Amino acid sequence: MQGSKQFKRAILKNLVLGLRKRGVASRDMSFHERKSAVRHAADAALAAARGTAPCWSRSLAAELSRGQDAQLRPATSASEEYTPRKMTMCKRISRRRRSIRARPKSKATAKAADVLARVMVRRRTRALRDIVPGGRGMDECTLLGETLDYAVSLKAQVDTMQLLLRALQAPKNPMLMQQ
Amino acid sequence: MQPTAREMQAMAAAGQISLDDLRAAARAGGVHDDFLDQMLGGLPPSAWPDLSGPAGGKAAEGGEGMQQQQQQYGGLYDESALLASRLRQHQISGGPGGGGAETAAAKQMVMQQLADLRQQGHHMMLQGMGRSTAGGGGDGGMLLPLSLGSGAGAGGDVQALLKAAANSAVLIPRPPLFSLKLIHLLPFPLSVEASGIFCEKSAFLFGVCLLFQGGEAGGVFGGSFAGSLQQQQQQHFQPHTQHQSAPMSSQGFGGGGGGGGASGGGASQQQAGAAGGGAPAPPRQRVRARRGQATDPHSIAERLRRERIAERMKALQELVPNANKTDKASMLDEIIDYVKFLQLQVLSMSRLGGAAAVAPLVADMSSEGRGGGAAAAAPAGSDGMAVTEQQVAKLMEEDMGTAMQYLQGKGLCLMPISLASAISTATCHMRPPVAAGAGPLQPGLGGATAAHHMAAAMRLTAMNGGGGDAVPPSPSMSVLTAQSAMANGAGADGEASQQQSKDAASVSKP
Repeated sequence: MQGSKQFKRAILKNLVLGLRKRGVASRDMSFHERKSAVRHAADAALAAARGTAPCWSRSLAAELSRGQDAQLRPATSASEEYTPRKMTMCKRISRRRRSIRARPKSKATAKAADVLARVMVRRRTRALRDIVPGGRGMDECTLLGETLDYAVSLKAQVDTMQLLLRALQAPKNPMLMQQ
Repeated sequence: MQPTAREMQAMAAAGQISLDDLRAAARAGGVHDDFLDQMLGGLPPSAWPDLSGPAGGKAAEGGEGMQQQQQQYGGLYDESALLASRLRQHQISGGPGGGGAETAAAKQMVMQQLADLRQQGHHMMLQGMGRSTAGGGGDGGMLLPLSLGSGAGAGGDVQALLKAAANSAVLIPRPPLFSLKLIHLLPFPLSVEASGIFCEKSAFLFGVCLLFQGGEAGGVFGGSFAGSLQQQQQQHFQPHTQHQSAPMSSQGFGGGGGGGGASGGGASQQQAGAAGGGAPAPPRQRVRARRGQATDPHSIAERLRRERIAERMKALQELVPNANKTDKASMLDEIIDYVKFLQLQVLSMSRLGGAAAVAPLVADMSSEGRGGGAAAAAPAGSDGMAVTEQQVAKLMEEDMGTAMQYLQGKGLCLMPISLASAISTATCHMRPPVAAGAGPLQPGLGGATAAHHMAAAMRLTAMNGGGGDAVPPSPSMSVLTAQSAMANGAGADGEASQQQSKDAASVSKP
């Protein structure tokens, strides 16, 4: 599908460029700083490789640039996607779903179940909107399309980074011997 | 014209038997006994003269008849024309008893539709049936051929006829041999006609005709024909008025017995399809209204939107693993979990990369000297490590738990030195500048021995990717420190290790 080799190669190239640009190696960074730098570089690489076609790509890039401007003052969870609030909300959703037992349905309960189902769907849609970058300004239909695209691109990004890490973890003997 | 008394008796007998069978095998909603009785009892055997002639329970005759018809394409038309005339006569005669009302009504509707069709000018079929029209004459003569050849939505009446045929076919138990002949005969007319639609219809035609002779198998074929007819009917639905077909098909469904059960199911589908409005298949000349919904643009837009959402959900279902949920809410749950999982993976990748591998990568990639880059990286790293080590040592004196949390927050872990060294030797090679960094093993950390070996462990894990130069000089030292740690080492051991570390450091410094 979209997890094409060309796409992954583009991500990799962008990633390395971005890492070099941010000076991840040479600067005296704490662990956290380096981690967030790498993450930003990865996201930027993904957004750049994907282009401006999908909506999430543009919003992601916008977020990153905004986050970088705000990096001067410690913006802790501005770009952090896993705020505790969201996690608890999602947990509440899944817990609520599990707690619903099947009851013999009369007409009233059927209607109530219908309403409840719609409420659940709406909650989940809201959660999805929070997760997918730029999901706020989309209707449900485009949201699903964007989610599809975003998921595929994320998978490609993960694969690329894994590839990179594995290459780095490999024995560097041949490279070192050249020094 | 050739019904004989014995044939009539055979028919009746056969009819009785199959009636009983049908009753015995009545399925839910499938069998209308009254209707069946009326159909079967009402129709005098003379109504099905020639076609049922060979089917009078005599296999041989029937086989011959079939063969004759196989050979004579036009002959079949004559038969059908005759049959049509028979039907007409039967209808004119007022139908049998009281029970014929439904059948008569059905037939009347059939006639009406045929009349409409004639006016609509399906001349092609008429011409194709020229012989039969000439032979049949009038409406009656056109009844069967037109119904057989109906291309534009008069399928409902064919449906009814099919039901009737199925019923009558059930009447006549046939040896399975006939079914084979049925199959063979079917492709035959297809090659004859030019027009595609007519081909299908004619295939159906002959199926219908043969059903009159075919036995139980015929009922099955009738069902399949009904199924194939459904699609055709849906295509030709629009010029056809709904209300005519609906009651007829309902009647047909009511009359559907054992063999007709399949076709009955088809009829119900047709009814539902008729009521539910043309879905994707029909060409959208004008949009069909669903039952209970107006054709206002809002509901259409609503429907379009829902369809789009449904197809997106389907695509997502293919992407997300373990997504066999049919419920929309659970599907959304899975999607959310999957996306969160991927984001978490990216996060952990960046954490790993930030901890270890990125520095050498970027250093290697840079155009400047690799050693320079590494050298620049390593002292900074070791300095950072020193700070961390001090921090951890301080924390460990207070509380182990906080120390561990601090470590984990940094993305470091505590591990036995033997393991760390094993990992390092497996993956990395010594690098002089890093050794310089690893050399000063904090002799100043005069605290617990735990601090020492922990520092070593930290260094080892953190510099795992960076080339464990600390490893070759350190094993001896680290072994000692590990041993001391394992033994909950006394201060003496710690001192010993400290001194050894100093020695090691002095040794390893270039």
